[in-house]
Amino acid sequence: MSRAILLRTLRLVLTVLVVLALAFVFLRLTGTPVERMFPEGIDQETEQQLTALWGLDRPWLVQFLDYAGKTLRGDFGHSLLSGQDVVGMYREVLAPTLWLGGLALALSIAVGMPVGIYSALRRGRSVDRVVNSLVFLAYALPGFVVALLLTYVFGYQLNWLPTIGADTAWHYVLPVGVLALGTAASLARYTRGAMLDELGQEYIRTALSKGLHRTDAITRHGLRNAMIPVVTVIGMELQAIVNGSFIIETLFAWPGVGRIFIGAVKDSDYPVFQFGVLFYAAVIVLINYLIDLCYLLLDPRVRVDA
Amino acid sequence: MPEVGAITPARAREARAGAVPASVLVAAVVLALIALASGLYAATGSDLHNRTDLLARLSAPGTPSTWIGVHLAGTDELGRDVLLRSLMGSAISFGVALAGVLGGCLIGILIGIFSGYRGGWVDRGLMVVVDAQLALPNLLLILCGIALLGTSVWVLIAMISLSRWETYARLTRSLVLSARERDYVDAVRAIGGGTLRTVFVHILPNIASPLWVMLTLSFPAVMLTEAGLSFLGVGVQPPTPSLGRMVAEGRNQLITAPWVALVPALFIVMITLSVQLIGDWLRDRTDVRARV
Repeated sequence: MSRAILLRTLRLVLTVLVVLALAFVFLRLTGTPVERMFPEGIDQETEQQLTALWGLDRPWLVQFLDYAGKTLRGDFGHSLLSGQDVVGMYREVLAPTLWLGGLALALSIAVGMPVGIYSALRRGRSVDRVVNSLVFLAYALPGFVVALLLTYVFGYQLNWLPTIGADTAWHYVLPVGVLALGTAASLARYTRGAMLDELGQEYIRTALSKGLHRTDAITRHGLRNAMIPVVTVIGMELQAIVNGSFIIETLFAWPGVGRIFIGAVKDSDYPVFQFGVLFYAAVIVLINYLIDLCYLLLDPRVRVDA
Repeated sequence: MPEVGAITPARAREARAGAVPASVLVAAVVLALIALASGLYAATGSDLHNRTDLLARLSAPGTPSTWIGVHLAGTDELGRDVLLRSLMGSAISFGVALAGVLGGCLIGILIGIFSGYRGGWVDRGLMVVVDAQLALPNLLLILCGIALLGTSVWVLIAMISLSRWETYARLTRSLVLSARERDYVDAVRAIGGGTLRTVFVHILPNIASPLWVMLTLSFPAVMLTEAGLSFLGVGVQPPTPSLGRMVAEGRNQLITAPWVALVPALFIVMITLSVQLIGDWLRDRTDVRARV
């Protein structure tokens, strides 16, 4: 078990290094920083001076090591537009984004999984069909359209909820709800499917026939096995949440990472953009690492062939 | 718990509903109408959707117009007809999504075939790339491409294709893996058929139907991606209308003139819901496991 954890931790470190290298290579491939800062071109002498100043005349490997070292020390440079320290820019908005994403993920798990399980146990009945239709709707509707409708109804018509910013707890209701909706729907879908697969297995029949109570058979045997594919899906839902957070943050004027990142994409503010990529990559890699650890807990088979 | 193969009321209902369900028919009609109307409008090459009328700014749906008879869905901030813009926006969204899906399919199917048919280290290497990309949020990838290459419809299409090829590659590979063990493949090779001939003339047509389903199923997701990017302002650029951008712009007038945002939003909902309904139905029909 500890060997398996060690191996996965090594893979985590390796992935981070690969992401760093890719970010470096891609930025270099698409032009030098000098070209990027002065797209209309500058005179030869100034260009040489800047190249020497930024150390761009050194060999690639030296440049990469320098870049990696700075990255590890947390030095990501300054915004090309505002001159602000990149890390400082993101530090201010980190908490609202992590709260938004974290709460949405937690809410979608808390709602999606029980709904999926309940639906599976009532397969084919009217409850199941109603749940299925709702899940289909929530799954197929784009988040920003749902957000728009909810803003219109709850924000403007009824005037119950604030729709801009992240000042109070009430500000979290709409963004978190909308972000969680699609994720909860697809989680419910997968949980239902996984539960149905497990409930048809022989070992459930065995458990029932040896006199185990139905609830125990379902929760201790069925649910535990159904969790394995569902945990995989939670990993994929994380991507949906990152995708959705770009849009939701823009829509609700959320003071978050996503808005700064989108702004940097629009303005070609490369240092800011680059840090955003690393931030999202780090979050995804970390969550996938945690999911891998969950497998180790849930599935004894994985512990062996690690 | 019903046994496998037992006739339950639910299964009997499913069996009786062997014909096309009404919801799917409605979806197909709605989709065809929008596609036809927007396609016909786009085909006229007209520029009426950009015609501004500053005297008729934000007029409500049904207001008589000086040049088009009546603004059925009202006008926006610049007095442009919302319905015409929604139609043109639908045509563009359809076009970008179609090109994106086809581009992604082309890359994915070619790589999937290569990977599945060749096997060995090529296969393993490609699958590592596929796995890595599966772990990335596709919007993040597209945003990176846009940041480095700029905003244009072509960059958008290229990045949408590149952000989705891995799902098609995975499916194609698994289909090719099982298809290449079939007798007909041996037969083709025995009579001297080359690799290209075997793969493209014989294997590809045989694995086509699941690929079509995949294509249909991924279409609404791609349309939503395009709408989302345009909503963020990094997709289709003005003055070209796009449904996502119209929703984003109309958001500011949600209180005074809700139709500006709600009409294009309705178009998005109708299109994606219809395609999703049709896609789900196709999948349930072709999925052998679900049919048993």
